[in-house]
Amino acid sequence: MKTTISRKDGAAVLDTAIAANRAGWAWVGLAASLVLIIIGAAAYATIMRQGPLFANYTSYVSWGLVKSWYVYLVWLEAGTLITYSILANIMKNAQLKAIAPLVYLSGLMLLIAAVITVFTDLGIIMDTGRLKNILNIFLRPNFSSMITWMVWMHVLYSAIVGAQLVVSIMEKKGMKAAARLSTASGVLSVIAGVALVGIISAVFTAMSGFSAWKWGSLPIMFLLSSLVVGSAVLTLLYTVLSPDRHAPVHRATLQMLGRTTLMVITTAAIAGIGSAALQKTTAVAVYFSGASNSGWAIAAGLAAPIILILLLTQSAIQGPKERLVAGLAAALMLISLRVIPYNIIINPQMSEPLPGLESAFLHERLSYVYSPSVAEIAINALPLGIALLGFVAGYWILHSISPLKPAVEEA
Amino acid sequence: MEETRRNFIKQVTGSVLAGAAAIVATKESGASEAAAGTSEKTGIDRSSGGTAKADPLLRMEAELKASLKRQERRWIFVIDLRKCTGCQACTVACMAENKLPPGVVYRTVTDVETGRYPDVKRAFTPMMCSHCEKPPCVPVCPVGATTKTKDGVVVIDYDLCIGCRYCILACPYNARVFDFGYDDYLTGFPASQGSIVGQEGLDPYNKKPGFEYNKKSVREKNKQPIGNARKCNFCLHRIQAGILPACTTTCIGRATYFGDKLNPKSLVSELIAKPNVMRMKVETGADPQCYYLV
Repeated sequence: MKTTISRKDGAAVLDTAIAANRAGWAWVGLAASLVLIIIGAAAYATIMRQGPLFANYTSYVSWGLVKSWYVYLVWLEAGTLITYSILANIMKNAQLKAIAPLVYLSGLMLLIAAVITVFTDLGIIMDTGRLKNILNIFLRPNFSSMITWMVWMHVLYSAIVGAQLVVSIMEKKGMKAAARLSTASGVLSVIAGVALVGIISAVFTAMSGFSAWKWGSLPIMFLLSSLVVGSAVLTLLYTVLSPDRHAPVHRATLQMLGRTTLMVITTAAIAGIGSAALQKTTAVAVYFSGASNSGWAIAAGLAAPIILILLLTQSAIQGPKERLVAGLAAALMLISLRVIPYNIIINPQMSEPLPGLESAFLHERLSYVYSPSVAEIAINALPLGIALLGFVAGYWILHSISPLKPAVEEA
Repeated sequence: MEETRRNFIKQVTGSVLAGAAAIVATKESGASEAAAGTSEKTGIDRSSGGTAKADPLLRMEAELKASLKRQERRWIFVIDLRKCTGCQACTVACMAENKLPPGVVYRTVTDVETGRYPDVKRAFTPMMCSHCEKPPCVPVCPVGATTKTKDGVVVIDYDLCIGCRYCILACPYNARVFDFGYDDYLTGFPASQGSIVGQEGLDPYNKKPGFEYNKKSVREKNKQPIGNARKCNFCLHRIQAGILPACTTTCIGRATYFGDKLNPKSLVSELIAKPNVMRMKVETGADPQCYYLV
């Protein structure tokens, strides 16, 4: 049964919900972001002092937690926006349309967080030499490198998401042209999102030295994994921040999001098991062997603030089932962080050592053993904190500049 | 009697002088032939356990100088695994030559034990950048900091490198390492008077500039090559000056050969024409230019 609400009802719901909770949300978000920024800044001070020594990655496991974190952030935002654009802009789900600016704002902030993550990993903020060098990716790019494509696509995608944010605000202001633009930008966003995730997977498949990355299905698995975490983010956003969360259609939309997430998980599982069976690859075993358990510690560490935020904001969530959904979505994001990027990026590097190389010259940086340092874990709080602060500020500004007009369709 | 003695002395002296002259003549002849790259007797015979002739280093150096005058050349390494004793002198020579900091090593020697008692074997394998014909590390660099010279040497421009470490991952041989910024091997050592390894004794070495890539540079905090990928560059600064790479000249077993593959008469060309040649991980398609004699 298709459930819709009238323009008047939608406006009222949006008005009431945001007006009632705006200040509370802003304070919670502000406090959380400041805590994250302080933790990240403390870690950054370590980087300033120690240079690349702050991290525990080695010459043989040279892409550690921070690089994995970048990939994960891109998955989060690309998956969220791809799922959202398909459901809201292409399939025209009215309830999801109401949170359009919030979704685009989240996507944009996650993209910014990803960029800051890469900058901290390269250490280029402290080193002016490399800061200048990074511009060479734009000034004298080498397009045979997938990293160049990744950076360019990241910039293009950020521009598209930024444009979508503007279009969604214009749409809320009732501009008719914006409605048409929103569909077109939605399609473009899906294409660009798929391309970005595909390019990031190609960064790994392009490497000949690792059998685990020579998995033909890796791009598909990257995309499906991205959609899994993306639909979890969308579900969480809708559960916690949706303006219609006190309206009857809320539960129906949540059920639809839940079904979508389950469908994507099932597809990912079938595709993963199927392609692994066909190719008789040991890649899957490598991915799930969990060579290091520190990933669980990181996931648990991140779980704590998310649970805290959910507890603090539980009054904003309609009922116990909705709270359960929010909790499950958050858990899915955390499990995905442990299982997917951590294992896909770090485990293969640790799992295929050249015989005798590690013992040929003994040094802690010439090792196949990797476990992230405290500073390496804590530094990830900085981009998260900045992104959260940007989201809180954006949320506030959005409410201020955009009169609360419904994005829902008329009955 | 007197006459007989005089004759005897004459004969002996004459024989000794003639013998010495013959030895000198043979050596000169060998060296000149080696320089021309035409000898079939020198160097190569030693590698196969034949009669000792002129040191292959002499021949390789002469060939190196001759190749530098040619328009095209292609430098390669040939390692005779049967001769490698695993002494790691090449590793140390490389580190001293390039003033490598802790954690950075261009050439290692793996020591792998295979088999079960009593049929146990130990295999020593020197590992370094293979300067591949199709190096996987070159196309992956987003800023083009890694390139391949016309001589076939894969080089890194430290001034361009952003430290993304993609090339390190792309190398199938783990030949690239990251410079994490360690000071030197003496940090933490006591500055004891008269000590051989004390800081006072070796600080002058540490403070002297390096000449990697023919650029005079002193290591400074937060400056390149700290935060960059690094690897073997065939001792470019030496070969451009007509000197063999440090690992080659230091090898006590003469297991490391260096030369121009495009010169069909060079020692390395002769060696890689043998049937007992292998290369590592050719299945990656990188076409490595480091050959092993097994």
